[in-house]
Amino acid sequence: MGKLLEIKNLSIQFRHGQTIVKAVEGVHLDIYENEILALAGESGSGKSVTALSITRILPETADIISGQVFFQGQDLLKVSKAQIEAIRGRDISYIFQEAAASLNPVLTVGRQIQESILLHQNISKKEALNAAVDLLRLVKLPDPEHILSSYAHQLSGGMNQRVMIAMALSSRPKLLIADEPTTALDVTIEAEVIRMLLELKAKMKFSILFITHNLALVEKFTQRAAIMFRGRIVEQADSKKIFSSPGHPHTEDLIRSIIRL
Amino acid sequence: MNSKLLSGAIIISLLSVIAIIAPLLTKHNPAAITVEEALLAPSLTHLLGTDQLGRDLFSRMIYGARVSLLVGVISVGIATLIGLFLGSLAGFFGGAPEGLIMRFTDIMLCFPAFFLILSAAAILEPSIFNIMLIIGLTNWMPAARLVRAEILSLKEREFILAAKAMGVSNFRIIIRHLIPNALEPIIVNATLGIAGAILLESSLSFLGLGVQPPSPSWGNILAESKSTLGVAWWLALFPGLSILLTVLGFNLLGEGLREHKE
Amino acid sequence: MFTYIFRRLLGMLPLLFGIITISFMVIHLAPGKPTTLSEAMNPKVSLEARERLEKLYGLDKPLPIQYLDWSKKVLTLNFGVSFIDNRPVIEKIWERLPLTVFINAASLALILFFGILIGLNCAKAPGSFYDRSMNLFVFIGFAMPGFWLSLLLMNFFGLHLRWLPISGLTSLDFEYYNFWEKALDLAKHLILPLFVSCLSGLAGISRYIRQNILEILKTPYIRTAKAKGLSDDALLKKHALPNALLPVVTILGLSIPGLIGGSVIFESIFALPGVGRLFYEAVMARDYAMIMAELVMGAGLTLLGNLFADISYAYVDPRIRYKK
Repeated sequence: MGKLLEIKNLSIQFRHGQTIVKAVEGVHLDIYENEILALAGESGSGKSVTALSITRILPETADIISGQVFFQGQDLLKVSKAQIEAIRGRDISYIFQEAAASLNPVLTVGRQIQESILLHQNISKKEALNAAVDLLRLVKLPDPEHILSSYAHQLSGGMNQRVMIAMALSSRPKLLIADEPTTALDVTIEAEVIRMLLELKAKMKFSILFITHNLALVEKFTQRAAIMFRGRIVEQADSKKIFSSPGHPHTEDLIRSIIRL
Repeated sequence: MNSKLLSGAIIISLLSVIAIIAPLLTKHNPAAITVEEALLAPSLTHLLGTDQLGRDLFSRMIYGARVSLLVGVISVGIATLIGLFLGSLAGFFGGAPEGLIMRFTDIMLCFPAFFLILSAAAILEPSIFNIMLIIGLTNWMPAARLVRAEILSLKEREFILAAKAMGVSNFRIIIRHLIPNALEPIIVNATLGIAGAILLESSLSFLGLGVQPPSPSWGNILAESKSTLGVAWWLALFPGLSILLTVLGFNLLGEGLREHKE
Repeated sequence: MFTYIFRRLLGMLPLLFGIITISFMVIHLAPGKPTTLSEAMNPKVSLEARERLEKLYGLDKPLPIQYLDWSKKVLTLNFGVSFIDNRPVIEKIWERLPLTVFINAASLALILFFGILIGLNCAKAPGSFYDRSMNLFVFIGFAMPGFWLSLLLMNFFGLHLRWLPISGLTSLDFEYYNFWEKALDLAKHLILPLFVSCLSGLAGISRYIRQNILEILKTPYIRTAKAKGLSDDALLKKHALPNALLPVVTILGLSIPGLIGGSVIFESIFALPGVGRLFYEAVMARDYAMIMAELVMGAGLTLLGNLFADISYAYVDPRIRYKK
């Protein structure tokens, strides 16, 4: 398996008025082709910030102070604005925790999927709409035509997350970054969404960077895992191994926290 | 201390000082008519020139400042007191009184304030006292809404619940505990309100329904300047600039206070 | 959607009742028979106007009867005849209303258009030179006395440069013009009043749109749109702006009473024959029949404006549009 993405010595800080807070410090992380890599840690450990920095969609107040993100021979932190915009959503796409809040409330679901497709594929609006229907079928949403003309507030949390997945996969990305995609969902829906992600991955062959605070999901669902703590990666190993013999006291804490539940 | 607060405070304190010591600043009587000196351009004897009756514009304007500030402060005082009274009743007691008061507030807001003020001005005599009363009585609605919202959010707080449990009377809770804690946004609102009231007073005086000549006010000086438009630019320029600057000062002060608190 | 509109209409009934009551109270603000010498000598509270007021509203009858009479007058829009020329008040208002409504509607449209333009450009680069100059403009716009600005503009564009007429709606030889000359003539007469009536509203709306867009740029759905590969420009215009504009509809509705009130000032200054000037003339002549009718009409227009804003809001926000 070849390397798909390579993060080297990444450091990021946030400006809050006069004070500066370090969010990520010297992170190294490799993502291989066709793998599921977990990036786990408690909230505020810097895992989401790391994920957002890959395509430079961090909030305004964040500064990347050092590091490289190599993808297909280019440093994504250095390429031009137009280049990174072309990569976003086409090669690397995201799904987020709050699916309902992650969809624009005043645009129909269909408009938003169609927009994604048109951004990266040279096809007509009509064809894009047909493609959107196919995508909604792919994520097993019933009555796709009806869903296209719906707004996020009319759909359930699970349905919204499927819409997000459909949109993220619309241009057949090589990497899907899933930032706590099931945290806001019921346990049964969570299982369905994860099962579907696995099926889609098998079908479409992409890698997943799976960000979570829940080590139970790491064990069940991923091959390798990196554990983050206070902006640093403290441990990186096989998911099974991390569970059976944790190498860092913080990893043990995370494991204990799921057993308590 | 942010720059808005600072510049607002400087403008307003300067104006207040000028208004208070007005007689010391000028040797000209603002009411003295000297027909031979009519429509003189600004000079060292008449700093801002004279009007068509030969009255010194500078002294008329600093006496006008007294009127503007007085009307602004007192009318907003009236509005704030009414707002405090109705808003705290509504916020504290809830239920029917709240429904009634807030509905009344909504209805008052339906009237274009300027229409209401003009109607009242047409019926009452246009005197400084009536102007203050009218502006106060037609501008208390934002204060009432604000006070109610503040009290609603405060009244479930622990120190209020504790005071209630200790048997402190409702009246005392409102006066001693709720209102003092809601004071900051009320002061910001009042400061911005003074700016609005000064604009209203000058508009009314301009239309001939506010401060009546020969008493000088910035608005009625501007009204008189209409007849010399194109001849005596100073009569149209300086009073307007003073209004602009004063209103700007109170707006800056209000915004500055709001940002300072955050 | 229809139940929403129906509920709104129903909610207006108590407001209508309140408008009748408060205007009724205003009638009773009028001082009684002149008691002191100074009052009796004052030509402004003329005895004649006072007597006509009493007769018109039957002020010698018991209060409940007076109130019922007044309600009937309001609901049937029968406000009696003007004290000035004995013509029915409502007829005079109908004649003048279109111009005022036109100017206010045009002001709202201009405020919205330029408010979006300025707000969007400020939000594009907060803290930039453009943004900061617009911030200054906002503060000055808020503090600017409209009547003074009108005077200055009349002085400069009318008397000094002689580019624009300084008063009235049409030139003297208007009726001999062809269509385009007429349009140009009207535009020339309206440009200054429109500018003045827009200014403070524009200051408020542009700042509001800017703040709102900046807040919206922090939301998760903007992050999603960005992650899809949208350019900054498309992000602002296609995703942030539509959301930022939703509350603006309501704010514009709330600004209607201010605009209508302001028309008294600029219609008087620019001598435009609208209801604002009509009101001013009535106040100066103590034409109580007209004053009361205009007061009720002003509140009525506000109510209609708010209803219109509510309905538009429901229409543009799918979260309300599709609520059962």
